[in-house]
Amino acid sequence: MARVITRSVLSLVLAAFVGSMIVFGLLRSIGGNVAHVILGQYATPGALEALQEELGLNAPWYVQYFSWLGGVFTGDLGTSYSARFDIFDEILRRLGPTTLLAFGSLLISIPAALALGTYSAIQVKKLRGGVIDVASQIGIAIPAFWAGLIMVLVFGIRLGWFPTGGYISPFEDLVEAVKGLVLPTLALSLGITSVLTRYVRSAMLDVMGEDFIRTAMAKGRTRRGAARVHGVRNASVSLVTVGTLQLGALMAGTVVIENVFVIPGIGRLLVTSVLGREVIVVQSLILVILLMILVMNFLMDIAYVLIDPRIRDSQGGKAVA
Amino acid sequence: MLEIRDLDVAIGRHTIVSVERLDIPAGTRLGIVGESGSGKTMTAMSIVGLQPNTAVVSGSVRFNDRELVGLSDRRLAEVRGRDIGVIFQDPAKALNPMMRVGRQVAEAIRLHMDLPRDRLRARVLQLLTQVHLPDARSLMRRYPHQLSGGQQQRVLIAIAIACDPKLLIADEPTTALDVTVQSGILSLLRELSVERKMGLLFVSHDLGVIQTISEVIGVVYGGQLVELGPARRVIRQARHRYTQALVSANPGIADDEHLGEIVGRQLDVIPGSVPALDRFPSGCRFRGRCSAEIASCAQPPEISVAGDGHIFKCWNPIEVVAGSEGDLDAAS
Repeated sequence: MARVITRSVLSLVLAAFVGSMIVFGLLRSIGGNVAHVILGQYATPGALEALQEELGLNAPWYVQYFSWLGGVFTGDLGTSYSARFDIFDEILRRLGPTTLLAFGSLLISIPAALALGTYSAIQVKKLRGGVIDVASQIGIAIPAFWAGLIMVLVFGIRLGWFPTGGYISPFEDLVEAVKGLVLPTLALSLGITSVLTRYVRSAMLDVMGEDFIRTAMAKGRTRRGAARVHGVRNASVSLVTVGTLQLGALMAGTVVIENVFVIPGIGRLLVTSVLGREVIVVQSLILVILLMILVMNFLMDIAYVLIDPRIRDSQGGKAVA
Repeated sequence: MLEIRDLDVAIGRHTIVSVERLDIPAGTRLGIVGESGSGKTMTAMSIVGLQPNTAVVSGSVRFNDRELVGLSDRRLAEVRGRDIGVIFQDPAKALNPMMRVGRQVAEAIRLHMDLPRDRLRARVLQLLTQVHLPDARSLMRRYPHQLSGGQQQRVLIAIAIACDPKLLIADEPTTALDVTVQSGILSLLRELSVERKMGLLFVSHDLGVIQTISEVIGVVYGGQLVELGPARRVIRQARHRYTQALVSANPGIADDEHLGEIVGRQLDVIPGSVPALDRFPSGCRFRGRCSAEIASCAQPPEISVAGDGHIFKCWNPIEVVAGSEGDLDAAS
């Protein structure tokens, strides 16, 4: 187990490092002159020169890259040009809402997909199973922002059950914080739940044909009981695989949902920074999003090992004869 | 104890298995032999409702006067494991790869008995010891992939006998194992059957294996029971042409006095192969592969009695010469 964790951490660090180079490289190669992008087309040569000096853009690219990377560790990513906030502090402040939103959605999506997918696989010949199947198709087709708007309209405005937007820290008021997160989390998890449900369903249908399900039934389990006790855990291996692939979509969804629900998270800062042409801020924000995906990826790796003892033995090197 | 009457198993429009009559008296070891695709596994599985989802079972299977065909999955689940245990062909796939061995054995007990933790654990240890698994205590904590094929099959046997069933259905339990491991499993099954007076329905394509373990042998061809009788009679005095062909295609069947006839001789083979489901000829299903076909074979054969629990379905059976060395009727 320790070996698996060490290996996952190492690959996380390596991926983060390579990722940071790609982020830096991409933004510098498409943007032309960064100072020019920030100041716009009517900037005077003097202003450009001053900003380039302030941002350290006159130094060679590798110096710029390593001073940025160093800033990630020392907590100094510079200052936003137009809004004049400290970038590192601002990102830290906005990490909370985004993390709550993203992990909250995963915490809803994974169990929901397991339950729905399993149920629809067991009821595969019946109407109830078919309903879930069709609903999951629709769920995939509905864009998160639209689902969010409809939810705001129905549950926020018409019924008034939940706030229509904004964010309250759970440290301030736990109840209000949870109430505020309900709609955005649901809107974000709708699509992911639907995709995962379909995978769980097909994985369960495969697993139900396995010999050990028949063994469980021979012991005295019903088909449904065998599915619950022996099927779900085996099917969750493929859920983890697909779940990992959905992380990118999850973070993209976070950006959209934060803007729909006016949540002051990473995603909303990203959009305002892009609109304000704050290249330096965008660069650090994308790295943060990348890191969040890598961390979730890491957790999925650990989940694999926890779920499947065979992986534990083959990767952990703990050979048992 | 187990009485099968007019059992039909159909997939779609095709009837795969039809068994008119098959009884397993309490404590009897019955072996079913047939080629692959002959429907022997399907017959065994349909007894306890473990046939594939697509298969439809009709007819009657009575276990101690209780009808099993048509029971709901929930009711059948009560019978499975408690009254009838089952073991399968491929032990490597038959255990849940993600659950410790001990828990999988314990589950078989818990489903039918309410035992406190410590007694449950003691019972699991006892079962693992009874199937001759050494070091049961540490074995309980292992996962299936950490066990050898023979160990896995022994664990599965422990699971199947966990609640002292009256009947054990064994579907090709030794086919996936090495020959040396095979004989160990066979003697274990025989021992358990004798000690616990537990009936055994043993299914295999291997006549040699069937002969080792069975008191009664049933021969299946094309989903139909073509011959049934005491093991010695079926092997030595086969009446059905297919049974005879099967026996003479098998080198392991010869006893010592006939060994000389077999060594250095080419083994007989049965011409052709088992046809696809919808390709069986009308009348006797062995028609076309049989060497002794006569005109009446175009009609479905009826059950003939050869005496003393020995029945067969053949229009032109092998005649038994009265008073010959092999005539067991005269001897008994």
